[in-house]
Amino acid sequence: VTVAPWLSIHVALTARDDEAPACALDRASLGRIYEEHAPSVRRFLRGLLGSAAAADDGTQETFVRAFRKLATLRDGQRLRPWLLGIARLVAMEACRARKRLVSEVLAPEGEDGCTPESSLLGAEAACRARDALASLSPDRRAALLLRIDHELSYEEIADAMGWSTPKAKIEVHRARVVLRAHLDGDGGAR
Amino acid sequence: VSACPEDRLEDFVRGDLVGAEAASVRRHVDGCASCTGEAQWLMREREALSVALFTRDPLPPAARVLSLAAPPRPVASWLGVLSLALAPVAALVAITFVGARPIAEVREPVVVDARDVVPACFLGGDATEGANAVELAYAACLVASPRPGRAAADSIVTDRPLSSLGSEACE
Repeated sequence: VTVAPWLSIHVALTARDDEAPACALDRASLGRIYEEHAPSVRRFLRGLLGSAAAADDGTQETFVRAFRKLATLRDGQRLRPWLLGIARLVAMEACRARKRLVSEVLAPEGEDGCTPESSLLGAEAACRARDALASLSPDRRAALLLRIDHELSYEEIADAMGWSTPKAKIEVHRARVVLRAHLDGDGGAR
Repeated sequence: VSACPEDRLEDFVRGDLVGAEAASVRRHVDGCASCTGEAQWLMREREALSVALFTRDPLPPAARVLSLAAPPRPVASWLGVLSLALAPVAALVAITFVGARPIAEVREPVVVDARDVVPACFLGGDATEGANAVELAYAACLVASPRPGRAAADSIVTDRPLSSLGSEACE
């Protein structure tokens, strides 16, 4: 009989120090962060990915990553843009994993689809907005959502996207042009 | 009419401006057709996206996210020292009770009551730390003491399967 396997288990367990908890917050604090920001993150992912199920998966993945890296966030005021930046990366990975075409990403699904009935129910503008989002590149779509739906400043958008502030302004402006064209019923012409 | 407050128009529409600044922008917008049109577009964009992204679905449960996010806690250094201190004892017990048996017999399914070898304070304290302590002691027991009680050990450690550790230890 040898104790080597036992020691190897001990080494394996202690080696987990490399993955030591990045955050010093307790479980209750993390729970509060989740409750406060998860709706916003999921909404962002819903806009990026289209699918509600994919948005839920992405939300979960975003917070798992965020909580493991929370200690790397130096400025607590930047938590929301930081989370949205992680969510954007998660969405990009999800798109790549599924090998979806950009045009498919926001394809209408289920009752969210742009049907005559939904138009009659007054959701025509929403349908056109979804069409507009689907027609945008993922980055431009993200920038537009961060600006209009999440009300981030251009500096925060630039930070989340890894851009300069002028580029963030240009990308949002170009995305807006497309969105307004769709809302005007002129989306196909652009 | 004053110069168009392009940079502040979006803040104005969002309601982020207050007091004199808000009043100033409002006065301008009321007298400027271009800014009135732009303000209407800004509101229309927000409303369209708001409806497009609206959902009533409940969020994924926080508990699940937190459990996935929580990395395994490292074994405390004093636990490591304790583990090393126990190693010779485990080896001695193994030689006494199992030493004469062929290795093949050691690989047979082994059952151990971990509560016999793990101080009660481990089991009553932090769940993860306790689990690590139980795993260490349990692995030692597998090579040392083929006594009944594996079911009891499994019932103590609920968040980490012991079967893989068990087979690894026996090999």
